[in-house]
Amino acid sequence: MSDASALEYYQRISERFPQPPQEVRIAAEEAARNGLEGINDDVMAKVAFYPWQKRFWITVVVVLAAGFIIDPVITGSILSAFLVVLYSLTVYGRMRITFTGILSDPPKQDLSHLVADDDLPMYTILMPAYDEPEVIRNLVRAVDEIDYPHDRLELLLLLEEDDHRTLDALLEVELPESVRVLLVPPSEPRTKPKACNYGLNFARGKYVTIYDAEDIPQRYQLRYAVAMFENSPDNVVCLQARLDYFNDRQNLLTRFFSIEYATWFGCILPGLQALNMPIPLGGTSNHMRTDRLIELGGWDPYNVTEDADLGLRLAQNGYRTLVLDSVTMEEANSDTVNWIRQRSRWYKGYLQTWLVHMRRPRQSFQHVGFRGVLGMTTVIGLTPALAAVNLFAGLITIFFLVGLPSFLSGVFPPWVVYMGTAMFFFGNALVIFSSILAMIKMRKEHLVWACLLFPLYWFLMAVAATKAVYQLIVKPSYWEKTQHGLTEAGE
Amino acid sequence: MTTLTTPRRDASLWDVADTILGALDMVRRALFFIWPTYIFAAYVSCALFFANRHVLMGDALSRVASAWTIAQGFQPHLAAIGFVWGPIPVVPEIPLLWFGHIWRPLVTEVIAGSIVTAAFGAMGVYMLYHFLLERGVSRVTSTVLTLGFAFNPLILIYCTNGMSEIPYIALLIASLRYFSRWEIRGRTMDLGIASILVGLASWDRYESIVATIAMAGVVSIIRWRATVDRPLPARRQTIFAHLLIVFMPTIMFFGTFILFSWSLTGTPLAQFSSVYGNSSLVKIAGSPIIASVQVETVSNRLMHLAPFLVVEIFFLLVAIYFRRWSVRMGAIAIVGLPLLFDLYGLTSGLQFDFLRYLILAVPLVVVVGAELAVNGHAGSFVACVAVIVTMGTTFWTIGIPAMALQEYPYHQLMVGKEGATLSDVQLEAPTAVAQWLDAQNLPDDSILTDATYGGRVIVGSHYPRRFATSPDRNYFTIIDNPYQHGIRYVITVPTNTGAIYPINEYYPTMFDGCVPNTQLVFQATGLGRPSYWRVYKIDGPISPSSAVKSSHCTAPLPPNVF
Repeated sequence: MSDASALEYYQRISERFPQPPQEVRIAAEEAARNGLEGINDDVMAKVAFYPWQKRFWITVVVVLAAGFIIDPVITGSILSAFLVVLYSLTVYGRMRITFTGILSDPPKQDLSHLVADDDLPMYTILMPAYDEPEVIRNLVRAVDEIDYPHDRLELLLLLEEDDHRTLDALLEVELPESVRVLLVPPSEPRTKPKACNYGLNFARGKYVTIYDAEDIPQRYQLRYAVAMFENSPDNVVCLQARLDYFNDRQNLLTRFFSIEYATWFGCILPGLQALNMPIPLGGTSNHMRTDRLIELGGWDPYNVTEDADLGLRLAQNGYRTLVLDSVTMEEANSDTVNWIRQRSRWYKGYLQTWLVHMRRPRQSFQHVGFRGVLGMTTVIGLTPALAAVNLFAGLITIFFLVGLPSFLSGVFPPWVVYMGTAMFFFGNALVIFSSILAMIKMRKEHLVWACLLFPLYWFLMAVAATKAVYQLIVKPSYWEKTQHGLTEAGE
Repeated sequence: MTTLTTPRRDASLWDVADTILGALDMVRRALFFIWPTYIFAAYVSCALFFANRHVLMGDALSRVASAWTIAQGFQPHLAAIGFVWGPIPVVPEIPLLWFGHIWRPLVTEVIAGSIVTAAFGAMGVYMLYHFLLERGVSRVTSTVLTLGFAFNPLILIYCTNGMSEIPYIALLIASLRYFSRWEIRGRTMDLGIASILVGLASWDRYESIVATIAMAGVVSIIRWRATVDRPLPARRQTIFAHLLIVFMPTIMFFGTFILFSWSLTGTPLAQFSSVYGNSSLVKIAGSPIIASVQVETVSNRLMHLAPFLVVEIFFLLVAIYFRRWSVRMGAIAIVGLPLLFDLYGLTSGLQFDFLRYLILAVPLVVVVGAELAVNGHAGSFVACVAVIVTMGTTFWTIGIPAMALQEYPYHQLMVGKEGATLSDVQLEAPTAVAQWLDAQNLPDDSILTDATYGGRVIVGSHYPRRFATSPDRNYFTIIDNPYQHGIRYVITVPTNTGAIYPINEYYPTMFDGCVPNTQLVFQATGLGRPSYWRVYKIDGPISPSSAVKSSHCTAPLPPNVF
């Protein structure tokens, strides 16, 4: 589209959906892109590796390569021993967090603490969308169903200026009064967090949350969030609601995804909370005090998992995130290729986030403590890293079962073999076992049989993680868009 | 007018007294807090008492021999764990046996095994006490029941002798505790822990699978009743989910045990199919071990051991029927069903005719007593009487050799008599063999023997790696062509010992010197069976077909005779 026709299109849209003055828009866009940099550029994922990190990892690669050339057997032994120990510690850490979460009982919804209508503050919902005309009808329904005084609710629908498909669909629909459409000026990076930062500049609410266009939050979620904020100390700045899938029975992939989410939000996050470890946020339904979020610089526009990053940044700044006893229904990815795209972005974002927060390790230890760094590393850093190693480890396991080639026989010392075998059997069995326990706790017993097939899911994760590592090096800020609407909502 | 006032006291003396009393109270609490260690210390003391008088059990010694072999090398010869028996209690013995050279009785008197079973015993006692308290039994009754279990003579013997019964019972009791918690609180994590513990018990005794089945049955009933308001598919799903929790650990533990057995020994179910498996041994002609036991005999033995169990069960049934007592059947089923299986095993020839296969009757008395005790004082009284009477009847039973062949030596020691000569195992001659072999400075894997009789020699040796024994993967290949596999010495015993000795199966005339290329170099005699031990040196290739099938070739007495 030419500049003239783009301007004409923008004017037509602006007539229907009034926008702020141009200078305000430009300033907001600038703040959205660089706001965090002005506060603390150390925590931005604009560059994936800091210089010392680059030097460190290059050194590791060079040393390994040299080792394999000089003496492949000893180098292989050291590497295999290191990986087996790392696997064991990671499984232990993850299981510790999961079982703590299974045993914990986060605060339940308490109707007696709900704030009266007259005392409810302004609440802002940020809803970024891109190229999603099919989900606009969900938007209308969601706004109607949220139980919150509409005069104290604003929903900022954040669309890219050149997203003609979605904008054209919007023109056909009558939007509720509480919905305001904001057009994000085009600039790089074109990411969800940048759009959210843009919207944050115009948020009037005391509290703010993010919903995706296809989300179906529980009716009273905003009320519960307000009640919990009002009854929590000031350092509680964020509440993460549980995410769940309405299409969990669609196919095996959605079942796997649902199991993972139920375990994550129902057990791992409560476990992290109980163990006083930083909580990486979910993509939506994280409710925040607006003023503290602005103070922190909003989201990192360059991080493709800006939610996880924000959760760690909150902890680094001495703020707490609690689990909110409320659920938002989403659509689970039901297509394998689409799933791999989405998961590779998440894993890339996790690696980015870990690298960012370990740029100054001493500071991280000071801010969140040894346990916090351990939790962060186990859950954020090692999850994608070891998933990527799994493909290689799986290959070696097959060799062991079929018959080890002679050139590999010296690479694995006996204790590594025993430990690795124990991890293979007991570690994996324990993970499946904990998933079953989690499904019973979350009352999702219809998914239990799929837990037994979870190794298939691990294979998909390994593929996505390998892609993530590649993209982290080659195109770190590239946002792999997930296609939504593959399922009819509510099925 | 007079005014009453509180007389002024010397504040500092009272403060000092308060401080001292507070400190004493803290010490008292600390000493009480560590009470399981007293139980452990008591068991170890008894173990030392029995060991000092050389009363041992053969299977316990074989386990220590296996662990001793592993403890001696950086390249763990894991096959020596012996997949005839499970990894428990062998694996926990290994770290203790790292000190086997420093304190030899750890090996020679099976003290390492005793320490392991004493530790399991203390754990079991601790878990039992807390199971009772959490179940709702009063503190006094819980203490009586727990002590009655802990010092029951049969339990005491097996907490001190390195056998597998007590680790099995301890894990079962620990599982009971968490299962009971699940019954009361409904927390799935408790069920998960209970199922892991009972699954782990399968590494000790395969009968624990029956306990798993019992657990599954009780869980199904409880979940079925608890979901009466849900649609049928949801009820089935919840039962399926809970059954997975119950069975998964057992499948994992037992499955990996089979896999490792196959990987390391070449036989997947060595415990059942090997030459040492029960089914093989009970078929041996002329063996003192009877193939199957009459039902009347087993019942009689059970009535001698725990007569009050019947009284308790009768009381319970009457109370349930007439007084509508609320009873949780989980614990009773988890202990009771394996006991029933053992009874079946005895009467059908699956198991040996040993009293220890009825040992579950003792914790069952306690568990049934718990259900009585939670329902009032009368129940508590009956439970306490039952446990105390059981201590007496057990002591009486193990004093009858016809009923308690293996436990009788212990009974004799308890009443101040001599028991060593009655012991399952005599080590005088095998120790002499070990000492002679040690002095020959032989390389590893150069002496052929087996895990049972050979174990008696191995524990007497400072160099267990020199012995090639039956759990080794290539054992039967080695025994077919020993000379080609580096074997230079073979330990033999007479063929009429009444138990399996693989070398006698392959070379039945070797003991008599009828195998060419062999020469008798050492002989030792002693008490017990076998009373003769011979060591033959192999000078050239031998094979089972080269043995002379004649009973008339007798080896001349060797220069070395013990």
